[in-house]
Amino acid sequence: MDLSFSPEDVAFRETVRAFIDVNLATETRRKVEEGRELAKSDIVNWQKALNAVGWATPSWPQSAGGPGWSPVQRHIFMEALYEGCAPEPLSFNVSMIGPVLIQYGSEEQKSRFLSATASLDIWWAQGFSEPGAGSDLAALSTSAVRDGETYIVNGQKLWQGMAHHADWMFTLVRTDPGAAKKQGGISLLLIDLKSPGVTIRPIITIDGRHEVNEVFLDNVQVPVTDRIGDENNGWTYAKYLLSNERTGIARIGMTRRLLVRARAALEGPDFGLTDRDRLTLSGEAEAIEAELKALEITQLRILAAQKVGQADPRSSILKIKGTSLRQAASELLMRATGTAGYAFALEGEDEAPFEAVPNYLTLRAASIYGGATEVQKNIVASGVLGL
Amino acid sequence: MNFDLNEDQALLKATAEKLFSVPGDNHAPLWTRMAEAGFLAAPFDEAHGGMGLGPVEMMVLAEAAGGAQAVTPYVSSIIMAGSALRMAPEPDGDLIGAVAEARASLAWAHDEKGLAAGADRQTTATAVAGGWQLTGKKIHVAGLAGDGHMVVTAQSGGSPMIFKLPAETGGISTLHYRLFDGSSVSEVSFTDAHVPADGRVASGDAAAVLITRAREYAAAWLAGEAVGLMQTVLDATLDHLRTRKQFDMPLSSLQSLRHLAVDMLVALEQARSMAMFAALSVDENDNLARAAAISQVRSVVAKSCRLVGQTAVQLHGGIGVTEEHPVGRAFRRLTMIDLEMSRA
Repeated sequence: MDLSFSPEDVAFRETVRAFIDVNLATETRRKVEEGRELAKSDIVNWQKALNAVGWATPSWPQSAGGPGWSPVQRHIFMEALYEGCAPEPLSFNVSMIGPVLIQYGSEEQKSRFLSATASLDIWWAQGFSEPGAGSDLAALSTSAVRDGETYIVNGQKLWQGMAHHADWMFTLVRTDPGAAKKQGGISLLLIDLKSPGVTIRPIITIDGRHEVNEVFLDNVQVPVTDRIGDENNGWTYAKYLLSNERTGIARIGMTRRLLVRARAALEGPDFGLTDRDRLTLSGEAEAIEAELKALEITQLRILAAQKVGQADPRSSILKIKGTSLRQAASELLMRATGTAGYAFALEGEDEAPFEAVPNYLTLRAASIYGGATEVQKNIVASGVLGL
Repeated sequence: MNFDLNEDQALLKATAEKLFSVPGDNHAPLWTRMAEAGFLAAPFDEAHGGMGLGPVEMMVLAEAAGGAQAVTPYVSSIIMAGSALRMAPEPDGDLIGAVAEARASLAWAHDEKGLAAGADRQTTATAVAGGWQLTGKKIHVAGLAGDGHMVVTAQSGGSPMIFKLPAETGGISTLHYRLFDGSSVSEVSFTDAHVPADGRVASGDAAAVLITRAREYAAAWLAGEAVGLMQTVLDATLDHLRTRKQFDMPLSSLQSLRHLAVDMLVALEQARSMAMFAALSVDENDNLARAAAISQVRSVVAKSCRLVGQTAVQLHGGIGVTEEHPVGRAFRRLTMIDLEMSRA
């Protein structure tokens, strides 16, 4: 039993850290560090920098342009990004549709999309949720009716993160409303968001930001060749996509960054805390730090046991605990910075003067998206506990 | 990076699980079986008749003991008093050998009424001709036998001291009782009890270090024991959920109960990670790093014990609060570990 990384892995971590130091734009780093909203250019420029050295798609197989890293190296890479205040590679492209294209896409789709997906020349949005289909995703009702070599798509999609930056949307649609099981009549289509009939509307969330959208599809024509795999087999591809989305989602380094800021606030004199506040909040900080250390080891244990290409239901534990600790850390930061976080945005300024409260508000969604905590618990109850 | 047990460790685990699985909780036979298997010799140097096992092996033993809900004075005798003896500036090979071979019993006499575990002792040691005199009172001393030995902490002037002495020493009186987790302990009163010069184990900074180290090894052991206990408790709870029917359906079909079982698993896995962290940190040379690691271990394990124990009782319903049910007894031990891990 040994917790330390091999000398090769330590050297790899140094290489990644050095790369971030040299290549990450100062302004992007500041925004990530302070938990501020990123511009499209922050994300695109960083992804292109990573892509230039073949690091933009850590989880892709080498044959599809991935770097060929071990699970441990992928972990080291992601943690170095969090620690270095660098954005993650865009998850819609890299963690979600990329692996589906590689596994189930036609040769034509692979050659058309894969390289542009890695380089972010195509920005993908996720068209899964609907007003009537959240955790119960298979209840979706957006319809796609076959008309020769085209589908006519009608419906409404919800919670499209950064769809206002996106070029294409991978979209679950119902192609067979009469299927015996509701999971049976679903297909996965790639929809060009410039198509006539597509309307993207912003949704402003409680943090005051515009990150998510709703997407209306009104008689949108989609070529049949833009369907992934077989008609009515979309649920299989969606499940594969979601299992990739869930892996390695503890985001230890992100939470650690919040704790570092909270610690600095507690140890500084600027936020009008009483001694008693400081004592209570410091105790909470210690408890969260300890849980985070435990989760880091739990994550490494799951990584070490990971089989290639096999979804491990234990990774749901990482999502459950990872989000709850991140939320706790953001709450701690908010409480530790007192009234400084009250102001949302000053007149004529884009950014709030201090981001602790918006951060806290943003992160309430972390236990809802990517499979809500309650859904994760269902997965663990049946997949791990055998209940 | 590697979280697997090696071949020897896996064998030790199988041996320990088999040994602890023999039914009956009569202490003496279990203690004898542990002695025969060499478990009392586990952490001691081979030069002193020990097995020279490291922290990972000790974690394996602790987990097996916890899994079987074994009630023994192992923490007091072998872990705490044992580490004070084996890490002393001049280890007493004869006494260590006797303890390792179960020819002598050993007890850690440290706790005092109203004192934090890390505070200066109120039991005093006064230098007299040919040695020292001890005066004071120790509580919750586990593993004390009439013909055995104890390791006693005390204060002399401004600095701590540690002594070893036979329980039969004059000026010592004892009162036996039980703790809520079922362990047998003693209150030990010292009235000018004489300790000869060679009874001094350590003094000053060396004594302070030994007390700290004994507590760190105890924390590592308790983390492993807690993991074994929590796994047993979780398994029992899952069985109960699957088999117990109410409203014409098994409890396991109710989502709120399924989710509580998942909460137990998450807490257990966090504690398991920390038991490993403890094993891999407790021999760390950097004092500050080691103390920080053990403090994190204590925090997580205490919280997990609380959540798993309380939830197991709740999910078992009425049977969970009865003394005869293993889950009720496990909850008491988990509560004890929670309290001990939470002490400063």
